[in-house]
Amino acid sequence: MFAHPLGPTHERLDGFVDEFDSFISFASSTLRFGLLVMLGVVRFAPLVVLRRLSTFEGLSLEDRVRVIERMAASRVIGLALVLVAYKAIFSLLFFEHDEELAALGYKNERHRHEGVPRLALAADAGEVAE
Amino acid sequence: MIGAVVRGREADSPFSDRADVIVVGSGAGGAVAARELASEGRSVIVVEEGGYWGPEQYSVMTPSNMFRRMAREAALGTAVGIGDTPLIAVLAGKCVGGSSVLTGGVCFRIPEQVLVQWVRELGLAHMSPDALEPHFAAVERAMDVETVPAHMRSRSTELFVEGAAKLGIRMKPLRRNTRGCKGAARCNFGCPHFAKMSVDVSYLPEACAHGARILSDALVERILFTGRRATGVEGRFLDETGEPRVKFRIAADVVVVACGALHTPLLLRRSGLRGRHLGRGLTLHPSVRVYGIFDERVDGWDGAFQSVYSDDFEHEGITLISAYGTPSLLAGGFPGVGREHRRFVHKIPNTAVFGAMIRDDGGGRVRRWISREPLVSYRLAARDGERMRRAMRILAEMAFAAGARQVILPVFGAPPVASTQELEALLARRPSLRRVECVAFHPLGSAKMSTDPSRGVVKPSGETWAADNLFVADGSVLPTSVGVNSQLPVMAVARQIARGIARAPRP
Repeated sequence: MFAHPLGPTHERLDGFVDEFDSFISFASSTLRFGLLVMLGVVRFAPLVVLRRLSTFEGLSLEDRVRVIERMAASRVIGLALVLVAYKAIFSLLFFEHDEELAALGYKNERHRHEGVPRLALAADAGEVAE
Repeated sequence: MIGAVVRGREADSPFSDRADVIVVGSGAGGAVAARELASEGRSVIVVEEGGYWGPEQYSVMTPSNMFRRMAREAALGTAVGIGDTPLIAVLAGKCVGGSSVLTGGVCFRIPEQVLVQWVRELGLAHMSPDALEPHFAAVERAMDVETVPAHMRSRSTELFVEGAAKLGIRMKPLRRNTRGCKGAARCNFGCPHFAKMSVDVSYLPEACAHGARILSDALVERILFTGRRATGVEGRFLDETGEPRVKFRIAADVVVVACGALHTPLLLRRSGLRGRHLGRGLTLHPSVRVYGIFDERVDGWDGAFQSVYSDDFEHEGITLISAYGTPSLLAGGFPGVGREHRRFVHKIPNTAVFGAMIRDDGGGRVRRWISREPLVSYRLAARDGERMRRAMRILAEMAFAAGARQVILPVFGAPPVASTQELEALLARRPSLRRVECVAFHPLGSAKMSTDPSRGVVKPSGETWAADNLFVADGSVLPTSVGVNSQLPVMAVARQIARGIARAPRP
């Protein structure tokens, strides 16, 4: 999905995996389980899509792309939705990287903190409990 | 006394307290209720499941950081489509300020014809335009509702307007709750300039100034009763990832539930309330967006997030509305895989985004599920499905009229179209609505207001039919879809309910 002329660096990909893990840790256990099931579907999709005895990670980059393209166009809408879910999360995490935003010419706006009505923060819960 | 936020995640021992009123939820409905009741001299504790993030953090958190910390299910929540219905992504806030922190800030009053229907067909006499007028006016004043000036429009919005003009569609400026918007188009992630008057920077500070206290990271597990009478709540404080920690228990004379239309029915059910209508009749305002790719550089992020709309198709249940998003949010909507996807993403600077929203029938249902989050199912009415197809056609035609070279419809697996002929060919195949990329921001109506206990969950006063001194003051109570952005309607109705509680004799 993130094929790059030179490919993302290993560090970037490692960081991406950590980001993904951190991101979904805030979702409910049900949703995380659903994502895990979806990942299983992608993993074993080559068996059905390419009729090849291989897991997804065992395929060449070109074949991975073929599998995903066929899943996206599949009449079985559930297969397409699996990809849509992962594509949305991956895109959100991958394309917010400074490098990607700079390539798009996205300008990060300036921030102003003055004059904002602030909620006071109690020192700790005990302060209110007493 | 000036109240404050207490971060429940920092509490390390069980907590108990008492107040005149407990408000469960600090979003648009809960914040208004808290402020109105605190200003009338009631002691108020607001209990919020989400965390408190100071507004200065909105500018330094990335979109994904905002979503994981401030949105339910890290913004991955969905309504499961039944029949020919898309899987609908439903964005809802889970933080101090609730969804108001994550909205575009668009403010519409409830259309008059909707209110007239509520009065004439549902007998809700207190929902007449005249009766709600003072509540709308008060909320608009408190939130700085202003018309978005033309100079704040992004190029994406200008193209939206140009395309509409060529097709004879009239556009109108939107009103939003902003004070000094800088046009960063990041409203969905908390305003980095504090210009959006979300309730965490408007109503809640005022509530605290009147003595209200806010407990964040505090999940209410159930409402406590003595006989039919609500007498408090109990629950647990949560850590940063939402794992339960120590218990809390708060007694009160009145409990106001304002968890939003997805969670209010769940809390009421967990607390023992039953009823055929509880959790049913959910409306979502399903929305679609179409991408137009232009030769010119658009940089749609440079301008107000939303600034114009058209009600020319209101009679068909469709509102056209401009919107944009950050590149990372838009990227997922582009077709292709690998290099092809990346090529499309690199066209984001040349992309304009056109949006539309459907006024839907109440085809949704909220149920308890394995985790704390609900199972939301939704069946799109046949009429609403046709509205969705019609909306996609109108938006695509507008994009071509504005000069788009390619148009990307929100249909999974569909290739971009380069002409109106290709558009016709694609739409003629009537792609399944299950393949449509659809989002919703306005869950409403899952605990409806009614004049009869057999037809709804709460009385016109907002008090539940099933329990005394237990009120609902959020979007759940709206009896039908309103067809417009729901923040202002929710706040006005919550204000009306809160004023009613304040006027009633203390228990």
